Amino acid sequence: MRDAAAGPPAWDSHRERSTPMMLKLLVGLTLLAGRRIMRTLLWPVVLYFWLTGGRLRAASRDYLQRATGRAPGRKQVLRHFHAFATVFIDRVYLLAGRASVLDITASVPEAALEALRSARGCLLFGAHFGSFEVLRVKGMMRNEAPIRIVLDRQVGRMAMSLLERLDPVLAANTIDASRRGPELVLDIKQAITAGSVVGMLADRARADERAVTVNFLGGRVRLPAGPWMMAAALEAPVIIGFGVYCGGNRYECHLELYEPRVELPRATRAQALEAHAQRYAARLEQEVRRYPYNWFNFFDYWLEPPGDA
Amino acid sequence: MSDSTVTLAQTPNEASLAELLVEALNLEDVTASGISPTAPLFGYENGSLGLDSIDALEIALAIQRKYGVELRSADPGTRSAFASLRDLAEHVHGRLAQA
Repeated sequence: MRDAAAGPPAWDSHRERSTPMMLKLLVGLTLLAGRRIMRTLLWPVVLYFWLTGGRLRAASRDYLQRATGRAPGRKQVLRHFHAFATVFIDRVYLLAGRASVLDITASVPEAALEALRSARGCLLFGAHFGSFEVLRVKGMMRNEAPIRIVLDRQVGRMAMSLLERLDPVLAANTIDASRRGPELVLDIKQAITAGSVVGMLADRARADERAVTVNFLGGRVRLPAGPWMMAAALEAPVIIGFGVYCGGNRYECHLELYEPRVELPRATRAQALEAHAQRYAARLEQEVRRYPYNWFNFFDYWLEPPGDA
Repeated sequence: MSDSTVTLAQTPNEASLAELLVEALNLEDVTASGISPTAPLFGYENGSLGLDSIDALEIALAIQRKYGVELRSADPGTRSAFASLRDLAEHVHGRLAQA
């Protein structure tokens, strides 16, 4: 359990494909031009990435094939890229406090609401699927303690500088996951104790991180073990959330209470861990099959090469 | 493994903390008395216990339960406290002495 399985090239070794200059330009334009114009202006950007990003294209094709069961054409791949770009600019609007340009509906069962608003704190697991930002905006409205997002400030340098520019308070409340020592988990522990909702993405494992191998869309993938182990150790309720982009300016938040308490009994720890990760993967798979263009892991996500599944 | 790290005798404080570690982390191939007080707890070098950040959380929670000492990330001493069994014992008992 301690050693990470030899996986595909880790996503965290990829360089982010954008420059600070481009990001600044895009953010400025997004806020200035308005959403409708931006959605049109995104096409040349999408086309640029489609033309130059061979690996992104391949990853999108592999994924769409698995999710839809059909070999995707150029059109589907472009649509996938455009959905990603749209969710990105919508993130800019949300961070800038302009949620009104979007039509966001939320279905939050009572049990999930209760956990999200409890002074006991809880963990919110998301994925690189749709928009985590809409979950934050819709789900956390009435919480007293600030939401704390766990993100790797080294890998997500772009995301971080975006956050710092648009929502400095949220940025200051992020918990930096690039630290490998005890500080990261102690920070999370303190945030939960303080009653915060601590958000993290539970669908990507770093190469050097404890991981669990599960079935996902007909193949095998590595999911991080950390979120489940943290939930068990902290005895914190787990909420899972999907901020689905439904086209146009519509989003749907699906937030649900996964478990009020995740149990990892000593004697059957490895099996219990796998069961939780597998259950999460199955839930994610449901969403992914319904809304295939929301999947934003543009790298070799599966352990076996395409076509072997 | 033991050739690169000299195993020094544990003090009573270190011995009871070593017990706590083995218990909290459910270490199967390590005995409490076999943990060298100066060996690194984290990392991959020779002689290290090879613990990771989740282990750190379990240790912090176990220490909080047993000694009532909360290890906080903002404390400058926390990172160095996790360097070895000796450092951890000194940190915890130092905090207890202050209390």
